[in-house]
Formats: sequence, structure tokens, C-alpha cells
Amino acid sequence: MDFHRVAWLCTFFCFAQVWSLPTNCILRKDLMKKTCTFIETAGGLFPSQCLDEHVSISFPQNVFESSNTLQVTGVEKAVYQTLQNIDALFENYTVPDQWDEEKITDFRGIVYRQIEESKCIMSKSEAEENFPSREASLKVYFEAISSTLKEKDFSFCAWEIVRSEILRTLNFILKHNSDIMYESPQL
Amino acid sequence: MIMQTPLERLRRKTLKLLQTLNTQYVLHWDWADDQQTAVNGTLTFTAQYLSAFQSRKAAHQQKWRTVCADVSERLCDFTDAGLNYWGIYYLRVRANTAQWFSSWTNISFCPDKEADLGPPSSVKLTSVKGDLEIVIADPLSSTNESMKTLAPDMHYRIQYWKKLEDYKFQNRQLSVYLGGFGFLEDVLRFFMLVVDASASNSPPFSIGTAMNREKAKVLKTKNNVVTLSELDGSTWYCVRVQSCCDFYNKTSVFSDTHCTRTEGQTPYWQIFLYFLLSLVLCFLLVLVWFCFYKVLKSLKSIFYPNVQLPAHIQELWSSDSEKPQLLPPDSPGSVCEHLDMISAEMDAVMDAQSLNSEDQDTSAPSRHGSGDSGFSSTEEDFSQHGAITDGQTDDVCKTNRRHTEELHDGTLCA
Repeated sequence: MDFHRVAWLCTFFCFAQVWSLPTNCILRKDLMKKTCTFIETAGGLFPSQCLDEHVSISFPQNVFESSNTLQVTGVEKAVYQTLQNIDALFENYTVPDQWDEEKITDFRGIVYRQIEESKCIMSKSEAEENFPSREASLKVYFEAISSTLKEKDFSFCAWEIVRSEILRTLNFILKHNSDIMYESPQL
Repeated sequence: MIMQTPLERLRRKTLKLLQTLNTQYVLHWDWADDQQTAVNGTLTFTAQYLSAFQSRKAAHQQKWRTVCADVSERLCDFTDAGLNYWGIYYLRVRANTAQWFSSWTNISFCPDKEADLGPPSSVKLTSVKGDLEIVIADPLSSTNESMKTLAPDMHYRIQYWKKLEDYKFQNRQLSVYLGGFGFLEDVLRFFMLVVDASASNSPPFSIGTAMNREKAKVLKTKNNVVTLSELDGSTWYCVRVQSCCDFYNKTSVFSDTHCTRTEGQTPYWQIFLYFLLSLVLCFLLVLVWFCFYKVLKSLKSIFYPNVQLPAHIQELWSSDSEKPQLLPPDSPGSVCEHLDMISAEMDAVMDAQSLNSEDQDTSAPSRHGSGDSGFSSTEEDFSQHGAITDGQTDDVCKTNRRHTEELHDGTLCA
């Protein structure tokens, strides 16, 4: 009797494991593109009055670069975490009124969607452990961004600097990390 | 002001169903009335939505947007509510009367993931030189934009097959081809064809059914204009198209089936007929030209002849004077004229003859004196002979003269 129970339980857990295999464990290139478009069109070009205030924040290029194929998962996780950090930025602080509220809402919506749908990326196992170092560099980068915001007292120019940094990051990812993202097949 | 919200009684079963097509989203719900609780006043519903990322905030900070406020029908159209195609949203509905309201029923909704894709808005099929050309129009959103702007990886699946005849009667077996019309229509068609067949061919015969078409071929494409090639000529082909999205395996319903016939090779008898016609036409043309030429030539010869009359005759012909006559009416002289034949040889012969016939001719009177001129004496013998002839000719001339005199009285040769 116990043996039967154990057998059934094992079968059940086996199937449960199979069924829980994620199908969306990949970032989509078209969604990333849309994210970039939304934040770009939320405001205009970088305002000239903010040029004096511009602070150069060093961009952690190495976070999104992989030297070999074994580090691909690490890069994927880094991209996922970037989205999480962007989401946290907009969640915690209020955006300026000068920006298009609808576009900001759409932007935040699509970032949130990517985070929710591709959560499984963080549970992927890496062939070569390299994500912790990437995570650390990303943390430094985003802390620099948020400190700029706080220092400039969440002024419009501060937010424009933040926006330009986000745009730079997203453009870099789109340019160099298309291989880890899903792209619809060309028929 | 709502005083009480007895939640136990108010929680009704509400079934929700979201009908979607491209960017049209209609939320339907059902309200099962509990017989125990009487509904006082009219029952209305309120529907709202919220961007999912805002759900992390506290309930009082969440900005729910009302789309349908206090509606009596059990549906709400979210098409124009401003839902972003790529975002995740929470939709909620509750019922309320003047006294109470029910609790909210939530669903989450992501158009990109869950909204059904519509079929192409139109499919046109034309036959072009043995191939088939299909023109596909994109499915349209609620703002009449192509769905390709929202779903760039959308592509089409084109199904095409060879259409067979409705039925075939061979070897006392009737084969009815069914399929492609719908079950009821197929049943109707089956019975009608059996009746028709039994009317024309006496039973018994066996009846069988088969598929209306050969196995369909599928073509995947992103283009809007597609050419199907390598098809059989003079054959009926049917085509239907559905739109697909790969990432979420979305497929639309199929569009209407369109059938057309491919162009075939011109049959031999047609080629021969055209050739014959062209021959006949050429022949007729040549004939017409020839006749025309002949007519022209004859007309030319009548009015502009090559051979001209001599000049003096033409003068007479063209002048107004009397036509020339062959016999002048007032000619004094007779027509006859004496011919004087003088020959030396003839004299010698005459001499010999005259010696023989002198005795005979001496008694004959000479009548040479009348009307002759230039008769010499040396030619006496001959003149005798000649006189006879002269006399004879004189008689003739007299008669002629008399004749002309008679004629002169009357008209001349009428």
C-alpha cells in the first residue's frame, strides 16, 4: 500500500516537473525595442539647459559582454536585472510632469511585463559562474544614477540625465545582445 | 450612501469571459440571481481596469480607471479604453444597486498574449498565365491600422488544394465528393446528387463518398502578394488563408475559401481553326484586291484609252460638219472608167487570131466609134476585139448611168 502511494507520488512529481518547464524563459527583442521607443518618445531631445548640469556616469560595458559562450546565461541574467533596476527606479520616485504620462505608463507596463514573464531566467543555471560580478557592477551603476537624482533634488534635468542613461543602456543591449533575445524567424 | 455590504449574500457567481479580436476587447459577465435575496432597485455594473505594475502600490493608491460606470447590460467594451497592446492589465467588475454593491471580480489580461488574431481582412484570387496570384490584406485593428504594426512577426498560412468534381459515376459506382462546405450542406448535397444520379442512371449502383479535394498544400509567407506556381493547367484550385503569430502560437480562423481555374494550353483544334480562318481571310483579301485592280483597269481603258484615232479623222469626228459620205450625190462622171491596156505581145497574138476570124467578123458592125477615146488605127484588129468588149462595157456603163440617173431622182441611200 505504501509502496503504491510512493509510486503515485513519484509519478505525480515527475509530471509536475515536466509540466512546470518554462516556455517563456527568454527575453524578446521586439519588446526590448518597444521599451526603448517608449522612453525615447516620453520626452524630447536632451534639453540644452541641462547640458551644464550633465554628470558623466561610467557605463559598465563589461556587464553586457561575454568572452565565450559559457557566459551567455550570465549576460542574460544581467539584462534581466537591468530591467528590474529600471522598474525599481520608476517605482520609487515620481517622474516629472513635463514627460508624456501615457508613454511613461506604457513604458513602465512593458518593463513590468518583461520582468513578470521572464522571471525564470534568474533560476537558470550558469555553465560558468559569472553573474555575481556583473550584478555588482550593475548595482554600482544604478546607485550612481539614483544618487544623481537625489543630489539634484529630483529636478527635471536630473530626470533627463537618468532618461539618457536608460536610453544608452537599452540601445547598447539591443546592439550587442540580440543573440540572447528571441527574434521572430524571417520567412 | 451605502451603509452595509453584507458580503456573504452579495458574493454571487460571476462568470467572466473576454471576447477579443485583434484590438477589440469586450468583457462579458454573468450574474446569477440568488432567489433568497431580493434585488431592490435596478441592478447596474461597473467595470474598471488598472495597469498591472501599479498593483504593487497600496489599494488606496492604485489608480483604477472606470470604463463602464453603472451599466445595465452585462458587457463592457474595453476597445477604446486605451489599453496598451504590450502591457498587462487587471480588469474588474462589480454589481451595485442603490443599497449595496458586490465585491470585485478580477481578471488579468495582456492583449499581446491573449487577444485573438483575426483572419486577413480580404483575400483575392486571380489566375495569371497558368499560375495563381493571391493578394492578402492584413487584419485591421480597431483604428483601421494593419495588425502588422502591433505584431511584426505576424505571417500567413496559405492552404491550397485541387478541387475535384462534385461526383463521378464509373463502373456502376457513384462517388460523391464531400467536404469543405459544412456538415449540413454536405448531407443535403449528398442526397441531391444520389437522386440526380439515380434519375439518369438506373439503379442498382453502389454509392461511395470521398474527400472533395486532394490533400492541401501549405505555404507560409509574410508577404501580401503571393504567386502559386507549378500548378496543373485548366484545373480548379481552392485557396484559404489564416494569420499566425509564432511566439504565443496564435492562429486566426481561416478566411473564406476562394476557388478559381488556372489557364490551360490552347487546344489543338483551336489553333487549327485560327490558322484556317487566317488563310481564308488572306485569300479573300487577295481576291478583293484582284477584282478591284481589274475594274480599275477596264475603267481606265474606257475613259483613258492608249490607242488614239488618226488626227484628221479625229478632226472630222470632233467637228460639227456633216459626216463624210462614201458616195458623193452630184458626181458628174460615171463610176466606170475605161482601162486602156496596151501590150505589144498581145498584138502579135491578136494578128494571128484576126486572120483566122476576119471573115467572120467583117460582117459585124463596128461600134467602136461611140464613146471611146484614144483608140489608134494600128490597133484595128484588137480594137475590133476590143470593140466587142468596149461595146459590152458601154452597155454596162449605160445601164449604170441609167441606174445612177434613176437613183439621183430619189434619195441617196437612205
